[in-house]
Amino acid sequence: MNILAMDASGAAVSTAVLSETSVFSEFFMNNGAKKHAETLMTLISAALDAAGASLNDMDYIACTSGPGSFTGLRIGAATAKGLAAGSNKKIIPVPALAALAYNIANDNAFIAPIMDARRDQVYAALFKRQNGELIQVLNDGAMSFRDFAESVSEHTSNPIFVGDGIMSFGENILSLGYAIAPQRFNAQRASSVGSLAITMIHHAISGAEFSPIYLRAPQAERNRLNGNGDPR
Amino acid sequence: MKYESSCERDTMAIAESLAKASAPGQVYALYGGLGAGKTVFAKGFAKGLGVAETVTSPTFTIIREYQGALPFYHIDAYRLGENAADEFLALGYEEYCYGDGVCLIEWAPYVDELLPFGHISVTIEPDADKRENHRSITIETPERGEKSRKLG
Repeated sequence: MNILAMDASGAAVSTAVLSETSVFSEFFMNNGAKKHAETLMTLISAALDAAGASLNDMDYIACTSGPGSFTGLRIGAATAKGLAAGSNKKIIPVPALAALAYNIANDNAFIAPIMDARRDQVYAALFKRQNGELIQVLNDGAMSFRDFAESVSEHTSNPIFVGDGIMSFGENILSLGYAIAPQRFNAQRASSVGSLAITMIHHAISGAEFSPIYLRAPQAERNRLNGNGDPR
Repeated sequence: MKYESSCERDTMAIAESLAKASAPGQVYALYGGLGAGKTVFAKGFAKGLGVAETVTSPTFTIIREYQGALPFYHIDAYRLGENAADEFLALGYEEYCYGDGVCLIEWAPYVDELLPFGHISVTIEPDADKRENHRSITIETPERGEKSRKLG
């Protein structure tokens, strides 16, 4: 089974062509100067070319669904939907935090993926890796680092943190005595997105049904929580 | 830091020096009621950034982009509606407020929950003694910025 995998949920952008047994090609860019809108399609073409494959050779398209950057998620989704529509393929939506956790292969480990969100918040979750599978222990959420660290401590005393959130909160994590993943693992990678997608074939949906998941409460709920009504 | 302005030219001069001290990525939130002089301030600000184009109120367009020494994004949140934050997100808030340009946001309270922690607040108020063209301009710089700035 061939998968074309892509991710644009964070600062980096990544694509890969893979099967159950091999990663045929993978591209990754984390160059802040270029926008995802400019680079994603280029990396998709590059991944297919390098794999000696065409879009038609793919069985599924795998794309991160969220959480992540509003713009990045939309670019990823729009691209995946366009490709799916054009080739009549289905999309396997892959949660970004699970894909990030999948970068870490330590069995029996608690893995805490954290992505930078704005205003000192993180998108984060907690997983336990058991026999090569990820079991979700804490649901995807948007919160302060402190709140997340507290929730994690209720489940484990030695989590491994992974993700670009480490760039901002690395010191906090280490001072808690927790581990951080090596630098090369700390971004979503299309090979992990695609590998996880292969275990989620039953979740495949049409391009028309695929939508990003932003992980923000609706405005009215946020107003209620902030104690604000409509400002005017 | 509080400044007294006795006319539009004063307001523009204050704005101009603030702009000249701007670094890429800086966001300014502009507070003041109708007629306070927010757009006058914006004109002076644009001049300080080396913008040659005429700056007009973005009330109807919501966002206007200019190129000076730095990209200048002049934003007016007034017409964003009930879900102002969601609208602003959809319009490119991440690129504007976390990019390499300078943002000036009028009617900032409507998008209060999205303002980066490092934003500078500029409040333009009528003169305490009610002198017609006089304004008090208060500029507040935050103690710290955010842990991360770039999001992709």
